[in-house]
Amino acid sequence: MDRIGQALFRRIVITAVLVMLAGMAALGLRTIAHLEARIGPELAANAAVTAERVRDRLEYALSLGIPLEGLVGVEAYLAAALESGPGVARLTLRDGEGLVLHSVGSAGAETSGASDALPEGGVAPLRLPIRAEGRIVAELEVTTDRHYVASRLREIAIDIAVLAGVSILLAVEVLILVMTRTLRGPVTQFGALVARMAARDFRTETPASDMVVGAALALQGEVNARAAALLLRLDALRARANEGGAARLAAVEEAARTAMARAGRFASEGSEALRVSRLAGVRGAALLFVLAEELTRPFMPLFIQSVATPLDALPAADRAFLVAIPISAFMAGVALTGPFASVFSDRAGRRRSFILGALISTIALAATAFAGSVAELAVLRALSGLGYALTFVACQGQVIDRTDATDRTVGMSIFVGGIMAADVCGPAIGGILANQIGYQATLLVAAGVAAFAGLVAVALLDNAPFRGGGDAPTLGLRVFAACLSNGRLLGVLVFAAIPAKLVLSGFLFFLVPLLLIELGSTEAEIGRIAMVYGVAALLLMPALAGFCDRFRAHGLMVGAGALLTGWALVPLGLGAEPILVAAAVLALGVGQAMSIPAQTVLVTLVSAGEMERFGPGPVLGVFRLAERLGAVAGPLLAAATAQAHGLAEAAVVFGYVSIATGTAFAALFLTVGTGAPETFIRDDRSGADSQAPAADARRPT
Amino acid sequence: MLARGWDITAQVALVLVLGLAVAFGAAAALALAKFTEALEDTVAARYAVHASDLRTAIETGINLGLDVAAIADNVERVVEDRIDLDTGILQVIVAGRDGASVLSVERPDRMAAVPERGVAAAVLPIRNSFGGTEGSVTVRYASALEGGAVGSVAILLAGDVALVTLVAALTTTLACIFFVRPLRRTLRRAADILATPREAPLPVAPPSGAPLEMAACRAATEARETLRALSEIEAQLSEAGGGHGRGAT
Repeated sequence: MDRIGQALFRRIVITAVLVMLAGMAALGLRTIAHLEARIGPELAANAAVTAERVRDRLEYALSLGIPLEGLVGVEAYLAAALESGPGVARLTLRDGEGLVLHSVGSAGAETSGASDALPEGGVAPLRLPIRAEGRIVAELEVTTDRHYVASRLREIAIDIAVLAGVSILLAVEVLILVMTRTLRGPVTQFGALVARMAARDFRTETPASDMVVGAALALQGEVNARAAALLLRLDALRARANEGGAARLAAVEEAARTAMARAGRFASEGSEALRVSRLAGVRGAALLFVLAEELTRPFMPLFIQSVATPLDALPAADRAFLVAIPISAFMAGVALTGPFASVFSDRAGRRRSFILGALISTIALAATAFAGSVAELAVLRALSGLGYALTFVACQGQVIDRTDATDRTVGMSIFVGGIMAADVCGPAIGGILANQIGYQATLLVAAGVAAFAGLVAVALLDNAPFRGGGDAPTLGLRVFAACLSNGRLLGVLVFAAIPAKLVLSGFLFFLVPLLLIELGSTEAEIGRIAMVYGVAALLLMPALAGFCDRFRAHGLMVGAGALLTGWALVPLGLGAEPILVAAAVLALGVGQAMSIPAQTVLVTLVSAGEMERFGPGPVLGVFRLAERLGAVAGPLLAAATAQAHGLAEAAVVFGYVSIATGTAFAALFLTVGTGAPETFIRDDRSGADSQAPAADARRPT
Repeated sequence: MLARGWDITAQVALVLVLGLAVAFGAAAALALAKFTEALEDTVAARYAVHASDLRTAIETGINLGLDVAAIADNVERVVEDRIDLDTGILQVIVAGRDGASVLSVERPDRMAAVPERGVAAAVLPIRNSFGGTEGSVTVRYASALEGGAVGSVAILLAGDVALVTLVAALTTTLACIFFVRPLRRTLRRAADILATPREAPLPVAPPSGAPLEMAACRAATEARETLRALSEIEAQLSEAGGGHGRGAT
């Protein structure tokens, strides 16, 4: 049944993309026409000023008795004049007979000699006579750049393209939510209901969400009513048989009950609820909240720097370290409060946990906009980390509540899809906003988005507390001791988990914005480059995870991912350019898409004994904690390295770290192997404890 | 039934239209911001040229050994020419080394027409041949934003965004109706199959390509079979004298 919804969804999205492209093209052409018409008079005024200057100088030279043909350095002078007059495309000097003596400027500019008609921009070439001793000896022609506006608009063409892509992606996310509620949900519900009815099972209890579900429920109700009436007759018959002791009646009643049981299963046996998935709501809530945080990603280091600069009278080198502290504080906030947030979410319910997290983040983001010192920023970012942890575990918890072993992987992929969409959209929008309205206003927008996420969570998330029973196994010293004494697990943690997050937070979140600003990029460009990471992860992670499982190449993928990331960072030492930074971010995205899902599986492989002893949850908790420690250390290490060697060189150091740990990891696992049967993965990965960190592992934090 | 069908179409179309409107609006806002920047750059460059020319004239005098104040009268003539050449110039101020005004030429009528917040300035330092600062030249002019060009472009762009959004809204709504209608029809047929009176024959579902109708047919068939089985049990009960007739339903 879901195929029907998917096909419809695909058609609608394709239509939306086509309409968006056509609309953008039409709007672009109209915009250029309007702007060219309005800027035309200003360009003409510029051309007039430029022409007057050049004519004055030429006439002065001629007045000194220098012949027109004898003037030297004319082209250099014309080029300088052209340089100082924006919107002037070409300056041409002709002699009295119209022969071109000198001409500088773009070859594609409007040619006045060919036509006197107005060019597209509405500005005709300006011609001024050059006089000597009262007679015209030459003519100066100034041609305006009719593509001036278009060329200026081309500077934001990529921004507009990104905006269109992001709008489509966000519209698709909302469509997923709407269509799941209005169409795919009811159709899937109908499919499950009629499948049960076709198997003569009429016990299904489900809300009549749609007319077709209502019709099926009406038919089921008719069958159940008939069965209930029959049961009444049989009960009466049994009573009569008991009163009269008639064996024949008892036999008839018994035979009728047997025949009824063969006919089907009815509501009188007890109804069976049809589980309705509400995971699209989780996806929507997660997307909105993560979007709020991701909006700040491209400029957070720059914002911290701007706060640190006037107030902390420290040398520039020390300022790098100050910038790293609030970024690491956020990571530490997530890492340290995560386990407590999980317990709170189980007790208070998913909705309350999410709303509280969104509220904390809203306040922290809004207050960040007005922070006056690095210390304040560090506290506020740690609070944002707490909010992030609360909302994240609430969404993850609802997926676990709403799924079982058969559909948990699908559930997690729905949830993670929302987060990845936010990873793509957030930095791009945040960069453009920061560029246009400034850091403070963008932080307030982010706070507004977080608040909105909290509001929509009322409609999208459940409020039932955790339905799992018993005492969940917890992290403890015994678990740590056991895990750290497992050499293979220690190898995965030290050579894969920690370096992967270290490089991610140190390079992508800290070094990339600072390095790109140093190279002259705008916030919008930083956002676009940061977005590349999300795009690579969004597109490749599902496919690479599938490849990994299919060919059991988990170790290979972890090692190769680290090496790919490392070698992409090394060229930055030869001369950092924005394109090289973008390539490094892309390689990081690909490398992490290769490595992160494979790491979780590897942990389950190498720690089979510990998992059997303590359960998968605590062991994966150790893994998660190690990852987050790496994320906390990343910006601090990057700052320390940048202080000593510079930003680009710090990126290179991170590259070498990745290469070294990737090589060590590969050497270790080539020599000792995983030490566990591969089949272990399949059984274990369906469990809640293993899936939850798998989703968590896809997150940068 | 129909209302639910329209619900789907309306909700999906609304989401698409909102998404498109936001994208078009944001793109137009970006374009307007860039236009404003380009316009300001263009205008500012022109007045920077005026300031540069005046500075060159003054520096020539200074390099001949004259003081800025001493050449003020001669400079005034050059400034007047320049103000006459460009009606956008509101005021030209030549300041000495201490920052005090040596010469100020303005057009009061032009100044009165422009509010203070709409005045921009191109300021260039005057240097002697040794690189020392001897004063400054300030050309004050009406900012590019004062002419109303940005406002008029904003109105035009808003109109365009509205028009393009309207066309996009119509297209997407029609597409949604077109795409959703067959599904609505199928849903209605599936509902009809399930609601068919028990004594009437079931409509024949297409053999393939209509999974919803086929599923409804299978469910309806089995439900009928079950009802028939229950009727037979009732009949057997009646025949055996163990019931109260067939009026139980």
